[in-house]
Amino acid sequence: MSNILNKYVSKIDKIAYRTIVDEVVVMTPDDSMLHTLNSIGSDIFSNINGKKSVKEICDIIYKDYDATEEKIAKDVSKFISELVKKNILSLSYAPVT
Amino acid sequence: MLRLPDNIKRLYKKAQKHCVPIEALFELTHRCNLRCIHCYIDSEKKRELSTNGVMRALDVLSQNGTITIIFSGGEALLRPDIFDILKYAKKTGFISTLFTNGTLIDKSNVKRLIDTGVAAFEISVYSDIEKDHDEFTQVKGSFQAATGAVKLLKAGGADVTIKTVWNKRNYHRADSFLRLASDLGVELRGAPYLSVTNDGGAGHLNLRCSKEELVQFYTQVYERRKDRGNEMRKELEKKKYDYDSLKDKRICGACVMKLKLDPYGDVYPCVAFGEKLGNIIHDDFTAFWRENEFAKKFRALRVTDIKKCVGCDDYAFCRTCPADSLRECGDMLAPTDEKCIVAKAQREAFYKIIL
Ligand code: SF4
Ligand code: SF4
Repeated sequence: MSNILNKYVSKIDKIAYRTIVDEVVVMTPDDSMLHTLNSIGSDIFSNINGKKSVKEICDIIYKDYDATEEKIAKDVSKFISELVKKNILSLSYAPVT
Repeated sequence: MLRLPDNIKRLYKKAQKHCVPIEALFELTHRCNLRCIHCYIDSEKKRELSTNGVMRALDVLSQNGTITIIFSGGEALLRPDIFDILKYAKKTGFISTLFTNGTLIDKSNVKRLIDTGVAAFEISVYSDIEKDHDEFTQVKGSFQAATGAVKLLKAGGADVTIKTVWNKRNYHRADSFLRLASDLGVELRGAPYLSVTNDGGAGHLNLRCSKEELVQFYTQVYERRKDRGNEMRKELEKKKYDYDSLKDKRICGACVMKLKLDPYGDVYPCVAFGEKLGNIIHDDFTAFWRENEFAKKFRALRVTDIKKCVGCDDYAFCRTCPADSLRECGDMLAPTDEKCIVAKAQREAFYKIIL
């Protein structure tokens, strides 16, 4: 996994999602799949708006979870990279307006 | 029939606990081209939501957690914008089922309909005999049209189920009805309940089966499922009336994890309750969903509040419905005789064949 901390992350336009209490479920229309995100995944997802970098998201998550900054950076980067592969998120060098 | 993935079933439990309307039934129109004798809908001459209005309603539902949606009517396919609505539902992440009488589906539109992304179709069929079905819908040719639609949808690769209401006229034909379903390559689902209609109509209730007829019907049902006897006996144990667990269990999902929308945007607790909670276009959905007095009162009720059912031996077979109770007995905690008779007949047949 390459270092993505300085990249900006946004949700792909055509995905749909719902929030059920504290859990996010994402629908990918191309394959009609439903992806349920765990609690930390849902927190990360809720913070994604195209305007924050992966590093900024890590900083927000760090405040709420009892783990080292390195561990948070690793887990958040891994989670985001997986959703990029599934065509749910995309990365860019600049914020998306 | 729509089968949900396990991760979504888990979310249903969460929705039930936290009152999230994860499941909606949307009556897109009350107009219909058939006149089914048991139909609960009275046709008003009000202005239905426009295409934009329907889409706005879907947006509100999606923001509030709705995932699965049933589009029904009247006959939903009478709306000229039905294809746009179904496509929009798919695009915005709903898992949709279309309830239809099938009569408006033909070679010219079946592909377009399947391509909208509807996950499942459910078509009403009232008998395996053409004449009996057409008498029930009061429209000649409706049987041929409905079964024709099933064939076309199946040939197009769609998920199709036929459903029926078991009643005095068809209960004794369950075997041949099942054969028809199997010939069509679909599942047949049905229940023997007939309810008072929205405007209080009860003329069709004389079609309800008697207890003896129901015992005969369920005897056939269990004869066919005999090979699953062990499994069914275990399931029965889990479903028996247990006061300690039922005192914490809500009566059902109405205005808890499900709701109904009518063609005018009015929101109700479920398909059967007539208590309006608010309007999805003109009112603040989140506020009335949370604060509506009827909804709050209903959510506070528990299974053990239905006093007649406490300790009932037939409970495991019972599908008591508070909305039916309210319509028929004027009290949602007073079960209708119909539900007790069906449950008793089912238990009698189960004990005879399975136990
Ligand atoms: S049991 Fe009756 S009141 Fe409850 S959700 Fe079902 S139809 Fe509605
Ligand atoms: S059979 Fe009647 S008394 Fe028994 S649980 Fe059902 S509604 Fe209640």
